[in-house]
Amino acid sequence: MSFILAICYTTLMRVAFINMAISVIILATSVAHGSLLPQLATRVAHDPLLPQVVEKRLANGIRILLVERPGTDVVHVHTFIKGGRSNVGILPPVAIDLLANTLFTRVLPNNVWCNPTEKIPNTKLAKIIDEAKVWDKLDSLGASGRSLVVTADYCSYGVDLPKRAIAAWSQVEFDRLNFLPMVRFPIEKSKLLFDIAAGVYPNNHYLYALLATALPGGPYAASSSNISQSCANSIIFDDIKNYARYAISPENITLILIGDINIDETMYQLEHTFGALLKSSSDHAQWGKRLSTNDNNEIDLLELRENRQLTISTNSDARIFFAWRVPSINHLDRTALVALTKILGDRCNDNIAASHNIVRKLTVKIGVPGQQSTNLLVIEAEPKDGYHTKELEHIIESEITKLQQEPISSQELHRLQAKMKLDELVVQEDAKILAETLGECICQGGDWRLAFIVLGASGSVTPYELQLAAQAYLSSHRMTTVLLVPDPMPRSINLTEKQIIQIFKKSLERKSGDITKVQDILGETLKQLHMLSDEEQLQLLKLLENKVYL
Amino acid sequence: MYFTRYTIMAIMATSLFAQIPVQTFVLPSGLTCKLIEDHKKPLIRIELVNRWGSNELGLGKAELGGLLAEIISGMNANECTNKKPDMRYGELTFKAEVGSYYWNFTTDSYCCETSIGLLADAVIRPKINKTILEIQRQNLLTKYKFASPRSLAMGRFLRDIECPEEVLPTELTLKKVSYQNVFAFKQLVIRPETSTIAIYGDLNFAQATQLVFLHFGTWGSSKKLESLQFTNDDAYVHSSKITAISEIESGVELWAGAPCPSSDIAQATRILLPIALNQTVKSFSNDFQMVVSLSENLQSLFIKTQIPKIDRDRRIIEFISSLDKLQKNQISSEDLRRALIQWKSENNALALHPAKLLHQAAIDRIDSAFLRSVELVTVDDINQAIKLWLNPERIRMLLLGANIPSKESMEKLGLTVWAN
Repeated sequence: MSFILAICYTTLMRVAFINMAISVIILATSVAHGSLLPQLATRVAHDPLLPQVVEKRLANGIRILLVERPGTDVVHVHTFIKGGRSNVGILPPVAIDLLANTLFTRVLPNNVWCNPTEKIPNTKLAKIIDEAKVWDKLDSLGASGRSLVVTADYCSYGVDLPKRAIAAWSQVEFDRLNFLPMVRFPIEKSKLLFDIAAGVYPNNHYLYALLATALPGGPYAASSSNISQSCANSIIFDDIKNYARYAISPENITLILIGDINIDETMYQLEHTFGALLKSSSDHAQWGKRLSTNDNNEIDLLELRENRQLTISTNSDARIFFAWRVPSINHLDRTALVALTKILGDRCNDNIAASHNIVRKLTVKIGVPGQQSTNLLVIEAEPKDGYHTKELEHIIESEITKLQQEPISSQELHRLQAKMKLDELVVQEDAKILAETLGECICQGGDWRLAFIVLGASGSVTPYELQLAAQAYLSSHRMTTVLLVPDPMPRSINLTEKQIIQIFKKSLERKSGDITKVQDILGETLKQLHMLSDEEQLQLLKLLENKVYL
Repeated sequence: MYFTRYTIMAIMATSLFAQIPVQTFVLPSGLTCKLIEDHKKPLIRIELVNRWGSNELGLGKAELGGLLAEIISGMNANECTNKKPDMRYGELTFKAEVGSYYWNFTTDSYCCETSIGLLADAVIRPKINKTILEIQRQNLLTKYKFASPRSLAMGRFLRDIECPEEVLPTELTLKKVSYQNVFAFKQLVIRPETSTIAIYGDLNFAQATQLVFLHFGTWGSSKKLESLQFTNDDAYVHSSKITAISEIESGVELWAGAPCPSSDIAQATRILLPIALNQTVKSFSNDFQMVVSLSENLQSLFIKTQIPKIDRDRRIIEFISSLDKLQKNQISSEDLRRALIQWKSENNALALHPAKLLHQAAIDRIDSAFLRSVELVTVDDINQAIKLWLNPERIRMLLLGANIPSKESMEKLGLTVWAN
């Protein structure tokens, strides 16, 4: 008996020893590669239609996504920094734009040096910008197709590079993220102030109004406020430097490389450069406050039962926005909502545009302005000239009622899924678009597979689920409507109209001292005048001249 | 130390163009077909390019082309809604430039045959009739009636510099043109000899030839018309040198642009010219940033700048005089070398961007002869092209913004103002 026990003991000890030896070998391998955690490549191999993404994480927390495209001889690299305009803490939302432009536009040549606290006079600004944009190290490496995107949830920077330049790029990029060169700050700040003064930035006031109305108190509403010149002027160098130390921390960074790469070689290079990036030591409390309140806001905003309407006067054409509050990208109803967005877009474009012929352009989008927390599903429609936005409003409402009351046919569902599948395949073709899609999902929901809901396992939705989602989310108490009404004053005024308006103005000013009221009446008059033909306008002018001057 | 290493890397990285295998075949009708195989995903992209070139047709034909483009794009929308094609076939898009039409289709490889059939219907058999022309004519006239001064001025400016972005016919053309004109014009320009179909994706050579022959084989060459019933009197007359529009907006935008007929400057030189110019314009002024860009059909050069309110008039004058400097400027060999590296890098990266690659293949910009011709461009070629293209006679300007200088003050400076 004791002999048998001794044999069992020896066998168990051997097994345990072998297991321990294997663990030591794995640990030694991972340490040799700069990582403290044993890691195995997680390649998605179950479906050939999904992108073959190899997902890894460096010891300091940087996420790496790699997609091989052998034989292309080029690599698209994309750096994502989580935390966009909605996560700037006490700073104005433009701080992230300023930081992104400071860090990720061309590195200044040695002969262009700016004092970070200096305010550059406008007379010098253009010359410095021109000198700074011409050529830098990445250009020397053969970089092309640079792109810089700042959103409510993240900022990202992408570039195409020759295969041979990857090692040099990782060193250049590491230097940038590690040393945070801020020499461009005064240039970028002056440029931002100039752009705000020139009316170039921000260029979509209506979106800000929509967000502030539909998502009051939420992070996205805050991301849309405070874009005035005085507010941008209040951002000082130290603020941006501190914010950069927090934002450019390894746990917020995702690197995506798509192209002619060797996974092992690339990982080795990245570990020996980006692996040395230290975690942020700065105090998180300043920004953490807003982060911690996001979840509560999500619940509150989704439950908010208010139907709001807003009318804005605009210089451009008439437009109408219908927006509904919808949950974040990780929510269980998200698949149904994405499908609903597609079907609503197709139905509206097919039925409304064809049968009523009153729409010039109609788009349906989900995830406005981001998808990390409660966001908006928005229908944007541009009525044709001469059609009133009210007609369009009624038609869209009736389409939504139809979706809420009748389940969609199996044929329509089949077509919808085929279209969604095609869209998900198309996204994978272009390296830049694929990188943007993967990175966006990582920053917003923590998983790149969220971009492929049809090709992945979670894509099946039933007509009943769609109907339920329409009833739950596209209800009137979640809706906000924004009407952009064209202001008639900036339109071209012909001579007759000018004369008529002058006569009216004189007459009104005599009767009423209220200038605002007079302007309102003149605006309405001009609207009516635009409807008249040239002959009718002349007749009216004659009548008015006789009446007024007699 | 780094710089030397990077420079060597750059030379290595850009010394060779990426080899992109393009298979070409020509149908008896003259239709050229190009195929780039990629079997990684079941996807197919198709682009059909019809290049008729406005220069060969004379004045006014670009506008007629614009009207035909409006009719075709309107018809595509109508057709889709009437026929209700299965959405999985993908989406057919149509785009027009001055002298070119583009049809695009992206579909999955299982629906490829149906998709190429739909494309063939849209290109070969568009049912243009008098009613459709009238609807489109009225739509465009309404658009003109409600157009803002800014969009009218922008349209005029773009038409002046023959920019592909704006090919709308003028109001005069719209009122005068007849159904016969449009029909004859369509017969003249949309022909297999002037078209190229480029395919990218999961399709092999045998399948591609079979499908193209099946759907486009019957597209016969129409009889080339000698002349159109559209006289040059109806053509758009180029406006004067500067257009100024005052708007209720802050800041001033200043645009300058110049058209260039394709025969004057070689394509290879045109491609490198704006990249090289952007390297050199930095030294021109302390007051504004100039960005030089080229239109997609390589026929128009743009220079855009934004001018702050302070001391605005002086800056405007300085901008105008800097165009003269630009014309007299000499590009250095270093500027050209950098321009070539930038262009090569963009070209090499096409392998990762199929839509761009397909477009470049369709318009013959990735074949080895063309690539070699770009490499052979010299500094003298560029400098001569600048003199020719940025000739004061060719340059048109547009001022947009708040409180622009009055017509009188502009005229005092010797500048003719078209509208205010």
